[in-house]
Amino acid sequence: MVNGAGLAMATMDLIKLSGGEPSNFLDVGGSATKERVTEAFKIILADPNVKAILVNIFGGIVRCDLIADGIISAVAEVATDLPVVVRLEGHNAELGNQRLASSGLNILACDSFTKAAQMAVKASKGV
Amino acid sequence: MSILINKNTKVICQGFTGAQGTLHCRQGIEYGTQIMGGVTPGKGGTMHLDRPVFDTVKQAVKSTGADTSIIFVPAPFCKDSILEAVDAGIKLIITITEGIPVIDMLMVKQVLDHHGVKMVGPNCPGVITPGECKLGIMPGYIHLPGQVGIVSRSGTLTYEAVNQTTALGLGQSTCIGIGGDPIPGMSFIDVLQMFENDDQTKAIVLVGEIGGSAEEEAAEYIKSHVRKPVVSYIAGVTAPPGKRMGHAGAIISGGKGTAGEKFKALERAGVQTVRSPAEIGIAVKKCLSR
Repeated sequence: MVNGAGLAMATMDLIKLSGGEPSNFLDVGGSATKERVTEAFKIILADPNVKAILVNIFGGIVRCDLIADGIISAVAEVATDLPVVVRLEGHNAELGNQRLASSGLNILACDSFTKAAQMAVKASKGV
Repeated sequence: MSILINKNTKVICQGFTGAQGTLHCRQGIEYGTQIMGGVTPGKGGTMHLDRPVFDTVKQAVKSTGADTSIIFVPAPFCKDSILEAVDAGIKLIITITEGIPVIDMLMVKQVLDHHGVKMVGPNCPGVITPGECKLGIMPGYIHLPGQVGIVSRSGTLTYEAVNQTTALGLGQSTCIGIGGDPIPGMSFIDVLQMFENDDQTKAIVLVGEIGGSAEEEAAEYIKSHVRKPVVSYIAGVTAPPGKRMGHAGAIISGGKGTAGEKFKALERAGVQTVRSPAEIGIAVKKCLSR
């Protein structure tokens, strides 16, 4: 799950470079609100091929801590067992990552684009 | 010097009083951009963000002396807004709007070229000269005045390139999102030419994506005209043929426009390419320290 068409393609490329296989991508667009993120998770989880979810958001205008809250409540609401790797970059990214880390949910927060892709690939293979 | 815009650029906004126009003009003003006023037909004579609103671009230009316009007008009316700006003597237009029909752009592009008016976009994040002038929807704080010129078809990937070059302390001269549509106002070549002639720009980052032949044409141009180091990443290696990847122009059609072909064309032109979008900044740093 990403925000932006270019970032979508780049994220899939990086998953492939990390030895994984992208299943699909979903562009939540410029305003990634809690509701949108929740709906996006539901759509992604409808695909049985999905073994891990990588959320890659560059928070430009939107604050990353708000996006983190959206992801936390979305993951809690859809109650998925799949590993969720999140990379937040941009405005308030550090705060966002802290919230994710302390959520108690199966969410792996990561501040690097490359590492996040590697983590997601690893998670998808159940390592 | 930077290219296209600087601290002296006087700007009006078409679609000034709409939600997007308001949000991004407010941020632009906070950044220090000289937004002189705006145009919303029917609201002439009122004030918005402490600036005058006009009914027509002609009135706005006459009253404010602006020669640049940023457009947030909805797609169905955007063609008329662009033509109105050209007619009023605007020299640089930045069109953020997504979804302008290709047939409209076909006509608009002819008019722009005929009048010698430059347009960035449509379907783009805009242009920023860090520390001086922000015209678009990009987050201002990730930028740092510096030496790298960035041009990209994608908004978020521009931010990635900006973020990486800022983190490494290189900074940017000017960053331009030319937009993800099949017919853009300015092409990669137009921007490359300006970066090549700009003293502040020491290296150029070109972020492309699948679809069309803009990157191949840019490669040809770089081979014969660009002496500065160019670093390039193309998004969409994993994109399946025939699928439109978010941007209207990002589609591999008839087997043409793949990332692989574009990488090859750029490499033949001596461009330093990176396969990972996370390695743009490091590659630029290497080029500059050579």
